[in-house]
Amino acid sequence: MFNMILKIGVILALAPVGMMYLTWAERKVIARIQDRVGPNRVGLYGLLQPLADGIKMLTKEDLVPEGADRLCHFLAPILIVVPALFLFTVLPFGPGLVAAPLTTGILFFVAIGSTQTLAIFMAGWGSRNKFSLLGAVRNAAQLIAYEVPLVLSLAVVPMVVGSLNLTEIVEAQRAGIFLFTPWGLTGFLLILITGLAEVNRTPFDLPEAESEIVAGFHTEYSGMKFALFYMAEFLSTLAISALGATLFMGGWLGPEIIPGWLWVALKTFLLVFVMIWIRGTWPRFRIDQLMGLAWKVLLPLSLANLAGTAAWVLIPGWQGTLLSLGLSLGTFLVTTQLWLAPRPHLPRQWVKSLDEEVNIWESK
Amino acid sequence: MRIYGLELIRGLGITLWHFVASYTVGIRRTFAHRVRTQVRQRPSENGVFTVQYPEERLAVPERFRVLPVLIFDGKENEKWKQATERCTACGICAKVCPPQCIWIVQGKSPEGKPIPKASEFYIDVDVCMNCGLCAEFCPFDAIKMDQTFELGSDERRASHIFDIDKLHVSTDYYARTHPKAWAEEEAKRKAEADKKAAAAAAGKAQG
Repeated sequence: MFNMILKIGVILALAPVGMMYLTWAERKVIARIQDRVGPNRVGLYGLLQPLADGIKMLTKEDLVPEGADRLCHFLAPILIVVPALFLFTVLPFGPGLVAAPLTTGILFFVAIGSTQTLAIFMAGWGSRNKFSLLGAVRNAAQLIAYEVPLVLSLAVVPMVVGSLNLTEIVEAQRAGIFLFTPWGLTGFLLILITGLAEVNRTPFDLPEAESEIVAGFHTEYSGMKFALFYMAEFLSTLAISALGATLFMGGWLGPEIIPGWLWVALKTFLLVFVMIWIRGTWPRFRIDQLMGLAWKVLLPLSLANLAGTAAWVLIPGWQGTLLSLGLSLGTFLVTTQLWLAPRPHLPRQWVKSLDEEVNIWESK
Repeated sequence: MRIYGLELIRGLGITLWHFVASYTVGIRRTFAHRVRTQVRQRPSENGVFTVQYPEERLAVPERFRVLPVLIFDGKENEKWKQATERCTACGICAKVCPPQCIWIVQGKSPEGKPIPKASEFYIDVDVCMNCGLCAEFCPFDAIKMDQTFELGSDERRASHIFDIDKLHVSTDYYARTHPKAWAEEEAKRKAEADKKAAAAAAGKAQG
């Protein structure tokens, strides 16, 4: 019991720190992608920037809009952060390094993760703001569209391992991590995409699309309450990346040059980097495109993956692998119909020609 | 290239390359610590384009002009003297100055006679509109536009009225900041001197 409380204490202490430095890492990576330097004034390489941001957030005025549902408005940020912290309790960071070794680990993760939508809807409803409500409704639509393929693609791992316990899932990958099997790769990519939608990150950040609906569900939040929403988003990002690393990349398994928890951290940050990288590259989906992708592509693909996994388990040898691969790939090609997409228009000449014409770039 | 969906992957490749290039291109610049003059990045170049101003700065174009300065013949770090200065206190610059920010007092010899030298020369830098008319009209190449632009201060009356000591810079300094303009002026001056010498020689031969 004491052991468990200690581990929960460590999670409570480290998760916000991890989240703070995730904001720093995100700003740095996005800046580098855009050929900028990013935060570099507060501390060495801007490493104290999260602290400065935290102080700024704490000292801002806490506003509650007139006519708002005060209870909803007050509870929403709390109700979104607490589940985000819960997510870490079932994630194993090493053999025995798990706060709550639940036998229903994945189920717990999915169940807790989807409650965040409720908090977001409370925020949108309680704010008495049209933008907030729009964001909240979008989030609810997104949840229904994405939770199904997410859970279906998570379900393939217990099918193979025969357990929902995340520690046992990692142990089952000693022979070979699931990422290198056809169903594992499909599931991994599905989780990456649906995970982005689950935590409302670009290109699925429709609930808080700043160019369309101001800030979506957190339009009316300021100061620390806003920071809590931000924190929940980043904590969920970390958690879903850690889940992907645990389920498909073998969690703490790896060459024993570095300790297991560091392997978990490395794999998690690799996935987080991919998420930031995607944010720095892709524009936001339109809501109908998002729905189309979820219902027409991701759902059939996750169902096919489920069948493929069953084939992989039941038919040993290369036939099962081939069948699984064929099912995933076939469904992907049939549902997306990529070959029907129009040829993209590429400009023949870029601004480069300016170099030769007018030499304004050098002086002296 | 054919498939729209693949363009998303290609986009990821482009941004990853920018991410990597921002570290690898100009890595020496990252580790250099002194104030450096930067050349503006071309659109075709990769790497971080940010010029981190106080630590780095862009090289200004030669004809970039801010405030007028007075020229005297000499080396840098040398103090100007009445013998070396070019200004003759003719007052043309003060007359053409649109916002009237130049104030000249003609110098006097010990006997009290006016001499072609300025004893006082003030420019109110907050009034100056950086037009450069003074430099264009000066018949003696004595007043030129300078490139120093970091002139901010929290006080106006003492520090923003430049006196004759503050305004004087050497020809060497001017030749360094304006190499092309200086070469042109020197060539012109030399041609005129040659013409004069030839005329004098011709006159001597006739006479």
